[in-house]
Amino acid sequence: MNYLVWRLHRNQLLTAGGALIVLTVVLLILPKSDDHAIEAIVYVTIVVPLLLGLFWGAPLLAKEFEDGTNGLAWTQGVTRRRWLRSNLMWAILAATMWGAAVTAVVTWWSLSEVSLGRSRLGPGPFDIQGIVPVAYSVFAVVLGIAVGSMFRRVLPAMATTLAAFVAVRVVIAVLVRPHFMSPVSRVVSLVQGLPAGAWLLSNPTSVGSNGTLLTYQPVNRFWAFQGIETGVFVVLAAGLVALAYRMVVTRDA
Amino acid sequence: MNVRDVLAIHTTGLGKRYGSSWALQDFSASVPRGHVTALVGPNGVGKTTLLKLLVGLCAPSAGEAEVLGRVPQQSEEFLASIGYLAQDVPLYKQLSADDHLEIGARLNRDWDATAARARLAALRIPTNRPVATLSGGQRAQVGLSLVLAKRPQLLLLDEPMAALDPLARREFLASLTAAVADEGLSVVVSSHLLHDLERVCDHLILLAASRTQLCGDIDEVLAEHRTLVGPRRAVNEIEPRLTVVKATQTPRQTRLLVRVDGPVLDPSWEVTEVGLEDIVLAYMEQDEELANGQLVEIGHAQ
Repeated sequence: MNYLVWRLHRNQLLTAGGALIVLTVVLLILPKSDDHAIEAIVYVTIVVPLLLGLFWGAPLLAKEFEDGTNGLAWTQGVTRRRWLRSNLMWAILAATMWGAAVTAVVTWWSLSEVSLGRSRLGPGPFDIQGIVPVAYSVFAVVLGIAVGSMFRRVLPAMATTLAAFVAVRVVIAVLVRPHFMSPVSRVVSLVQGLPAGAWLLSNPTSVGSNGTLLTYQPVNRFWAFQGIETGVFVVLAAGLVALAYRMVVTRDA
Repeated sequence: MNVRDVLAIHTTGLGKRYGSSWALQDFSASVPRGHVTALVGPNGVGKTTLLKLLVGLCAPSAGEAEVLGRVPQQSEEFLASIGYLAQDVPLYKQLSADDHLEIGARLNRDWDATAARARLAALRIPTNRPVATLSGGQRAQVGLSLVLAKRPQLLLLDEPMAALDPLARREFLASLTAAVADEGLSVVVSSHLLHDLERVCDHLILLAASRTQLCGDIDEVLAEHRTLVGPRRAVNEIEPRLTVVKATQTPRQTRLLVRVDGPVLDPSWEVTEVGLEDIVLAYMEQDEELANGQLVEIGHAQ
């Protein structure tokens, strides 16, 4: 069964591997100066999970349904359950490796003296560093697979993957993430200002003559936030895996 | 011997509903093992649905099916016993016949690649080119070789020759006949044309109006049907033992295609044997009349 997945998708796997090497080399050999070009490249990696979901996850099963080859695969000597398991396993493995490699390079690059010049907890830097890109990649690919097994057509699956991925990411980043842990509210003097690297959540309000009320998440919560966000996306991905099983195993061919 | 060991297919009241309309309804049939069965019926009558139900790609909405003594299911044992070639022979377009054979070898416990390669070589079908570059006839042959390599006990083919030209049809049937003779397997082939299948099949399932109309040995079907020609008379004056399939009235003559269960006693009939194609067409026409009748009624109600 693994051979079938490999044989059908080895070109994509090799292309993805090649693209990964190119990106890594570009990031490694570019001078670490405060260059907008590098910053742009790093921010481009924010769409990597989405691309994996769109061009890998969504067509993975939808293409089989569209061509009718699921009828061929499902009447060989392996059960649909095993067929889906192999497809999911490979897709998740590939997404994990891709996400991990990209985030490793970007995180390494960002931790260097140049960094992105912004809070690591804030929207943007947070989304391309640490372990969350891996979770996003896995979520995107599984989303594509689940949606593909539901719609059974490539284009609707891709469109839905795009819309759903962006919606979930934005909702969690904007509405949920600030409340992962209770923010810190403190009155500081103008001289003190915001603690280094903290993620400011609301506009400062003046208190008294020279005090300012700041509500923020301190930077030492970076890994806690990474862990929580990863957990959220892993749980969502698990739900989508269950949906894919339902669509493949219990629905008619 | 147990009944289950003798029957390739046994269904009772099998039905499949999509939404509110039935794709197949009340299908009851038994097919003994070792036969080549033609599954015939007009387009859209439920032949594809029936085959999908039999291989477990669809779950029935009503009734039961047993294939080789098992309920069609997603288990390796069941899947190993059946071979299924879907309509239009779906294959992985970018892969070659060799790739397909390699994949099949890894997905099936019992896999006979040697025979498949020999068959494709004999037909001079290139096995190293993507199947998308092959002709429809060659693709059908690749598909047939793949299902045969699986060494199934029951082979179900859904309109395998629909897209083929007459020469490719003949070659396909020759391959199928040779394989059946070698392996002694049971086969069901669907087609909307009986003509293709008459030479290879010894059993017939006729599906019309989404229901079973005939199921039996082709020799028996032939023995049970006769054309009667005699002086004009009303259809209700005919012996009750005779089931009229088709009646044609001219001012002086009545011509009937009937199903009989014994000799026709009334001496005023001139009795002749009927060809299989005429029998099948008569049942299909009956189906159309039924459909037309419904249309008239719908129009009337408005």
